[in-house]
Amino acid sequence: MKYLKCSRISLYILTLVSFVAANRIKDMLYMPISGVAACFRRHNGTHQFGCSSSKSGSIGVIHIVENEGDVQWLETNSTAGPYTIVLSFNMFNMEILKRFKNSNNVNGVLLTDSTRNSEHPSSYSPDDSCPNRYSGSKLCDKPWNPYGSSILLEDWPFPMFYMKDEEALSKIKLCYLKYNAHNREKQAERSLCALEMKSFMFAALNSESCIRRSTYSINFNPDVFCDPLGDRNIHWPVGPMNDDVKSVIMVIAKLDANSLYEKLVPGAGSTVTGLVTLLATAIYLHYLNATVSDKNIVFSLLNGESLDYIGSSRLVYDLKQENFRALGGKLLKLDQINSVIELGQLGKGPLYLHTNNFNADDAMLSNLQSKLSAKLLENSNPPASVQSFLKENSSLPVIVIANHGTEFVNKYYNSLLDDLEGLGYSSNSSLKDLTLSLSRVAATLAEELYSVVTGTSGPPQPNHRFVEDLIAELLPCYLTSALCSLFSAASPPGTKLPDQLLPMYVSVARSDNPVTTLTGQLLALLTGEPQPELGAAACSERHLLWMAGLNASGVCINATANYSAAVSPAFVIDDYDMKSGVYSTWTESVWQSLGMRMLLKPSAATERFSLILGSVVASVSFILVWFVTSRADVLFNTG
Amino acid sequence: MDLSKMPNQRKLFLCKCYFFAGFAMLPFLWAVNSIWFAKQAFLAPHFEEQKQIKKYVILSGIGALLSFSIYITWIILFQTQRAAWGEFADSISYIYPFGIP
Repeated sequence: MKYLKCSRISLYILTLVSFVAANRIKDMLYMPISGVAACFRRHNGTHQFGCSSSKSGSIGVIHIVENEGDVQWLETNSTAGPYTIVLSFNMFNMEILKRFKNSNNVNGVLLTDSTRNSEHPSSYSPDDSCPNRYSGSKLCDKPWNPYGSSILLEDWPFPMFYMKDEEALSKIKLCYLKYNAHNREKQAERSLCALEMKSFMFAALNSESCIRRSTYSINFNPDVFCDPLGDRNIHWPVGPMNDDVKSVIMVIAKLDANSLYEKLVPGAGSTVTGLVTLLATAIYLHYLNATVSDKNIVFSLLNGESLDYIGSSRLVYDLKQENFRALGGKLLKLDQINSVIELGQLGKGPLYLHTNNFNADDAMLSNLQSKLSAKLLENSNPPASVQSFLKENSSLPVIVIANHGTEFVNKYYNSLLDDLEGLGYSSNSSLKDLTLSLSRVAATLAEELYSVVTGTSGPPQPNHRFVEDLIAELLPCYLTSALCSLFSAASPPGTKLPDQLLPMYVSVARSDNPVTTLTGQLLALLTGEPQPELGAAACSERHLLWMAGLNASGVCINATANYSAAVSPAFVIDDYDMKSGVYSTWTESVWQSLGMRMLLKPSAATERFSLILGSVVASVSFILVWFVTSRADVLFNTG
Repeated sequence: MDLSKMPNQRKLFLCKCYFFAGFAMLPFLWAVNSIWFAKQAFLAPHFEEQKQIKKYVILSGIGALLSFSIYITWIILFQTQRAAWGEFADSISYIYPFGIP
C-alpha cells in the first residue's frame, strides 16, 4: 500500500511540478501485476470472438464480485464506472458475463483462482455444448458437452485476464478494501483503486477482412493483422507404403486442445489421454514387429481439431487432391482407406465405441467390444476428427473409442482446468489406474490391429507390461512437465526443456508448436531404426534425425514418422469463399503487448481540477508573454 | 514577396499563374491566390490590371470552395461508410486501422 500512497502524493506533485524524472514517477503511479494470462481475439470466416482492450489499455475501478448482490449493485447503484470486475470461478459463467456486457459499465474482467484452494469448480467448459457445431458431417441434435457455456464463442467488449497468484490477489483485495469498499454510494467523489488491462488486438471483423488487409498489394509493406491457425499433423505407417499395399486402416487422435486464455491450454482429458494412447498403440505395434502385406496401418495425430477440424480436413483434402505424400513419398489415396479408428477422450471407467457404417458382425469390432467390455453405439457421431472423413465419404466405416456415451464425462472440456486435477488426480498422486485403463485400450487395439494386418489370431508374445511402462512414462510428459526423460531423449542432445506444462493450443501456422515437434520426434525415436554406426555429422548429412536417445549419448534415427501441413484448405485454395463454411477459417489476431497494472484513479472532480488548472496556467502565461512583449521597450529600457 | 512593391503587370502575371496552376489538382493554390490578391482586387485604388486580377481572384475563390467542399464531402462519406463498403474500401485504402472493422 506504500506504493499507492506514494502514487497519490505524486499525482498532486505531478500537476505542480514539471516532469523531472518521468520514469520513476511512472513506477510510483503504477503497480505492475505479472503472471497473468489474457483472453485474445480470434476470427472465423464470418465472426469475431474473444476479447480486446482499448488501444491504450482499458482502465476500470476494481469491483470484487462474490455474489448476486454485487452484480446487482453494479447494474443499478454504481456511480464511479466503468469498473473492472474481479471474480472467481463460482461467478464466472455465461449469464453473469452477459450481464456485465449489457451493463455497458465494465471495462475488464479478472478471473482469479486461489493457489491455496486446489478445488476445481464442479464444471467449467468455455467451449460450445456442441463442439465444432458447424463443421461436422451431421447437425448436432443433442449437446455432447452439457457443461459447455460457449464463452469462447462470444465477442466480448472488454478485456479478460486470468491470474493465479495469491500475493497479487491479496494486494488487489487490500487496495479495494482500503479505497473502494466503504461508503460505496459516494465512490465518485474520491480516488479509487483501479486496474488497467492492456490486450489490444489488431484484427477485427472476420478472417476474410483481416487476411485481406494483411496481404493487400497497395501497400508494399503491409502490417500483419491476423494469422491463420494451424501447425503440423504427424503420421507413421506401420509397414512401408509400397505398391503391394491395397488398403489402409487409419488410427487417429487429436493433438490439440483449446481454452479462453493464451498459454493455459492443458487439454488433459480432452486430448492427452487419446494422444498418449495412440502413441502407445503405435509403439507397441512397432515392438510386436507386425509384417505388413496388402493391408497397412497409418497412425495420424491431427492438429487444430478443436477449431473446426483443421488438421483432419486438410488431410482429407490432400487425400482427395491426390497430394498426400507424407508416407515415405508414396501417394496415399482416399479410396485406399478402408476404415478409420479414432481414439477420443479416454480415462477410467466404462468405454464406448461410437461406430458408423460398421457391420455389427465385423470381427475387429466385435473383438474390440468384447475385450474392452465397451458399449457399442451405432450411428453415433461425437464431435471428433472422423467427422471430416465422413463429410467426404459418408459410407466409410469409422469407430471412435471414448470414455463417454452421448454426453462427455469430462467436465472441463477445452478449458484451463482440464489438467491433472481436472482428471481427478493431485500433482503428486499416482497415475496408476489411469495408466492401466489407457494401456488396456492401447494393448487391445494394437493386438487387434496386429491380427488384422498379419491375418493371424494375435501376436505370439504379447507384452502388456511394455505398454503399461510406456504409458506410465508418457503421461507425466503431457500432464506434469515437459522436462521428462522421454522428451529429453527425443530432443537434440543438450536441449533445455522447460519445467512446465506445454500448451496444447494449435496456435498460428507460421510458428511451430513445441508439443508437436516433441511428439513427432518421440514417435520417430520409438518407431524409427537407430543407425548406431552414424555420428552427429554423418547423420545430418544423410538427412536423418540426430537426438539424445534414451541413454542421452546421442543416436541417429532413420524414421518413417513424418509431418504434413495442418493448415486449413481455406488458406490453400485460391479465391476460397471464407463465408461458405466448408473448411475451417480460424485466424488469431496479432497483438503487441499483454499486461495488467494497478493504479489509483483520481476522482472526476480531481481530474477536472487538473484540466482547469492547466488551462488557466497556460492562458495566464500567454497573456503574460504578450504583455511583456508589448511593453518590452519600457521593461528592458531598449528605446 | 511584398505585393505593394511590385509593378502591376507582375501582379497580374502572378495571379494568372496561380490560377492556371490550380488546375493541376492544386486547389490550395486557388485558396492562396484568392486570399493573397484579395486586397489588390477589391481594396486597392484603381489600376489598369485590377479588373483582370479581380476576375482571377473570384474564379480562384470559387474553385477553392468547390474543391474543398468536394473534399470534405468525400472525407465524411469515406470515414462514416468505410466499414460498410468492406472490400471496396480496403482496396482504396493505404493504411488500415487497427482493431476496428
